[in-house]
Amino acid sequence: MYLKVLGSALIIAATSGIGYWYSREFQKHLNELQYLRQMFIMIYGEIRYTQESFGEVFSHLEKQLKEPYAEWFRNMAENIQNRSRTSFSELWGEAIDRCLRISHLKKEDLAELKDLGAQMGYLDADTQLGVLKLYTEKLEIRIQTIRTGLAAKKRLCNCLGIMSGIFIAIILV
Amino acid sequence: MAGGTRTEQITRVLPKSIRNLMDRQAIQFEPLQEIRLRTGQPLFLISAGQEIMPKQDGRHYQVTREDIRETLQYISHYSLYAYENEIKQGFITIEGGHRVGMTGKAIIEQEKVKNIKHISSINIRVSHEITGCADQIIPYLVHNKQICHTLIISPPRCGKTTLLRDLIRQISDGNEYLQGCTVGVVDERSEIGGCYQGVAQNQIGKRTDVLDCCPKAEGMIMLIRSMGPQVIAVDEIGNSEEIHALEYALHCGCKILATVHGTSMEELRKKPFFEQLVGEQRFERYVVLSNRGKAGQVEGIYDEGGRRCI
Repeated sequence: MYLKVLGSALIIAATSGIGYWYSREFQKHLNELQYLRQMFIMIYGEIRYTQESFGEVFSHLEKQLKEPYAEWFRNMAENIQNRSRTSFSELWGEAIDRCLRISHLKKEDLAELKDLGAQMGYLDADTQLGVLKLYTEKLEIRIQTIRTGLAAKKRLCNCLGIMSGIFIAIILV
Repeated sequence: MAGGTRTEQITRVLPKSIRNLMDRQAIQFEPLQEIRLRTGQPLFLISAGQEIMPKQDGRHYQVTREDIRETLQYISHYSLYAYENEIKQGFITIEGGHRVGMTGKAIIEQEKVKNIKHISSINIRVSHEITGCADQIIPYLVHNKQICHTLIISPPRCGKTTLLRDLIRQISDGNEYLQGCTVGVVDERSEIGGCYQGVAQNQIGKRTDVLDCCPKAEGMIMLIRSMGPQVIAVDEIGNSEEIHALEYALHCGCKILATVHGTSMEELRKKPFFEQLVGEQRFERYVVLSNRGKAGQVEGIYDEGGRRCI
């Protein structure tokens, strides 16, 4: 009997843990998007204020960022300095693939971020700033959408975790 | 050198196809003066005064639109927006002080050039630092252990910036003719110091302060107010604002080292604004350069009255 109770408790604890982990992932995704927006606001500000090239902007900002974003910017600054690719979008895409795989951003976030690279580097200052602003606004809308449904999703994950644990325990016992 | 060696600085901005071509043909970078790219035309290299047209598969290499686009990406660090002002003037200065000139279709706004689009020609002018090239003339530019107000007169590509740079270095460090003194350089095109991220890449002396990428007229006044230089050096003066700033500096007790485009004292006297400067004997020495025989050939040194010293 004791063993059954112990087994059931372990199952419920494990599934609850999985549910909690999923709910934390939703929160982390939101946090990463917020951090990304903050980064682009910083890039926008640096370019507007100093009109520095991307290499210098990345080189300045990497010191203020957390990993893996610092690594991403470091990588970009080095590759721009070495002119290792023929276009900015190639450098940008490669650096995203190399450095941001371990972030909590989703595939669609990374795809959108990569697409942004095609609109950078060859424009005049006003248009370049416009492109960065537009991307920041898109991020803002995405953050709002995720934030709206976040509490419900987290609750759902937690409940499903516990309920599935109870369900499995009943079936097994 | 933060921006790498001269060869690295130049090869880094060339499109991959031209880099490979130059590698295959073992082109020497040391004597290289210019690299000219024109869309649909052969690639021209000017080396030690000679034109070279590299060949690929038995024919002269033809520069493509893609080569020009790639070069623009490299010289602007993939950030054309950051070089709008430079492109408007027709050139960008890259690491090491090398000047990249460009032409295309000018965009005009309110009768002024706003930008250049459809860039079709690029000319990379390699900066040459020749330490000691001012050795021969410096005794003539010093009076009572002090440098004289000096104007270097030279046509383009005759080494006036190179000479100015070495003069700055010698005045700043000091030598047997004069004690080292504080030199303020207004380096509007980053050609004198070849600054990279604010730090001079060329040897311009230990007592030299460089105001990089700053308009000359504004820069001279800023330097006087902020750094108290004993000598102010500027390259290629010409317009009225620059002449006014120069006069202001002369009245502040600073010694002036400047360069101007021209071929002789006679031509200088005919130039607007300079006629008065020469007449009022504002400059104490004039150095006239040419490229007869070799670049940087000193044609003559004149005193304030226009009398020939050598």
